[in-house]
Amino acid sequence: MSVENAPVVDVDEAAIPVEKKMYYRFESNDKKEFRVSELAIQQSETLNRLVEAMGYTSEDVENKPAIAIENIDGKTLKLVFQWCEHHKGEAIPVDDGSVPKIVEIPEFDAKLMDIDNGLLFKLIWAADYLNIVQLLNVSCKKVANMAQGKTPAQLRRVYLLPSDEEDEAAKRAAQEAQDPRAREVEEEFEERKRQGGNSFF
Amino acid sequence: MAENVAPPPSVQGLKLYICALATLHMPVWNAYKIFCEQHGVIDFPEFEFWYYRFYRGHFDFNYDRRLAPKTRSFTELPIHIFEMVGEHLDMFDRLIVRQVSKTLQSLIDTPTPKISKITVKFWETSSILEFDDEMITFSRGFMSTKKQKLATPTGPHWAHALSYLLPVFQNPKLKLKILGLHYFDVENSERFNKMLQIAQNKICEKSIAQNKKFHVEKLSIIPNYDTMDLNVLMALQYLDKGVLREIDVVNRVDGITDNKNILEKLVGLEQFQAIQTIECKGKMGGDPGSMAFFLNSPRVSFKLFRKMTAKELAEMIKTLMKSTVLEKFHLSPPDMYNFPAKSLSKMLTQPEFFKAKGVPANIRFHKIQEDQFYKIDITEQLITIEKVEND
Repeated sequence: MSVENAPVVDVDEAAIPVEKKMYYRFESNDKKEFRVSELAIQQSETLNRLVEAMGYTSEDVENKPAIAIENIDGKTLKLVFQWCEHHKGEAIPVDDGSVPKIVEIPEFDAKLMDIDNGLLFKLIWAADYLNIVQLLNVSCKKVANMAQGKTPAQLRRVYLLPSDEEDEAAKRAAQEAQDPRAREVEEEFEERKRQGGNSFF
Repeated sequence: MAENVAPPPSVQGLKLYICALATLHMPVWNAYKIFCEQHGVIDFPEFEFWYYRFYRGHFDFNYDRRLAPKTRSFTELPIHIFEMVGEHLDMFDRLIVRQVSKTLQSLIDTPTPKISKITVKFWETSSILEFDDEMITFSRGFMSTKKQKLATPTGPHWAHALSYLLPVFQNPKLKLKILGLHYFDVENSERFNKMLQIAQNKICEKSIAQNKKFHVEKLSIIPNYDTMDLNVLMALQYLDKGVLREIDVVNRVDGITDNKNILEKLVGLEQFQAIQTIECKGKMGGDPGSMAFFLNSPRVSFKLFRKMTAKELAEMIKTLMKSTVLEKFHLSPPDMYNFPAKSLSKMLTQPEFFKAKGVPANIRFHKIQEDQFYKIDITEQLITIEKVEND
């Protein structure tokens, strides 16, 4: 996909200091390209380290290929970068170890995360992978909020969580589907462990 | 090319209903509940998928869901994400979530609990669990907090409270600064002690550490009935003597004289002997039997519930001087009363009472055999006995 046709994340340019006005290009695993400000990238520890290590100049970011983020699709990455642009320049929160954590979900974040669970879990996964602390905080808080007031049966339904019986059945099915020779080896290994050994070697 | 088969009208009708709900922009779970009430239960992800499509303005009813990008399920997330979500849950929700499955139970229980104070209150018609500032009430078939309320299965409120408390105590990493116990009757204490015993056994089953004791720095007990049975203090035997520093008992400490066997058993407990401070409020005579409760603790703080004469107070102080471990003793008068400070000071300085030197406001008592000195300060609001250097 060409840069001209790439989806562009809304950017408040007035908020960006002149000397920081450099935009990096990233590409999702479904080949969607995004231009993201240097200040917004700082919200992601992973990406920030990556661009620092690359040491790109303004010319490089335009002329070299977009940086590929192979684990994240375009729909999720768009949400991630929208969040980063909105929160650019904000301090990265430090975990104070308190439980339950006190996290308020700002209005912008609440709207951004008004999405189905499947996409929300992808967003959480992406925030974790890219190490965006505050996005991870608010998205985990959103999942926790959804759990409030629900019975165990309702939680199983919302999050597609298997019950103990379903867990056991899945394990049995996996075992039955396993190659018979591999299962024999596993059983032999377990037997040796029971007898005090911890290895075949 | 796959043949395009039109969905049956009933499916279209259901989608139309979901679409109508989506236009109201209510939370998806509320919309789902309304839908289920009207049309029966359907798969939540299926509902959610269509709800958000319509919510975003995509009204193509014939859209083939198989064409939608693959999403992730909650169970596909890394374990540390589960733990992070768990950190955003308050105790009420954690106790519910751990009932979903053994897998979630293990994930909820694995991190070190960040609870420093648990208070358990048993009343006649309700039981209350307080985890730091969060309060969960079990009453009339419900468990509730300020924010939410859930129905509990049939059974007494105390049984539900204890069943939710058990997993908390089963976590070997639990470290409490304060454990508070409010009992309505003696059976409550027996049930609570039994729960501690079960939790202790479970921990021992899972770990190589035998006879694991609970980490509690201060035990606070408030029996809410007239005749306190010292069994309420037997929870001590499950606590780590190396950690326990203080015990706070309110009301009816005089009852201990009625139950000599329990008293002897209690005072004999290594946990009791290791306590640094005992704080008590209650009636007390000056007899050696009731005083034995305090004689094994270096620091005692006691608030009287009834007025005592100067003679009774003097006898009590005399008994305390027999302690071999006493370092500091504070005695406060009942509310609205003053100590008879002058007559007590005068009594203590009588040579025939016991060997004491000094002036009424600052009496020094010399235990000749042990060569130890105690300073006794008497005011109308406080009597202090403190071990001092001989200077």
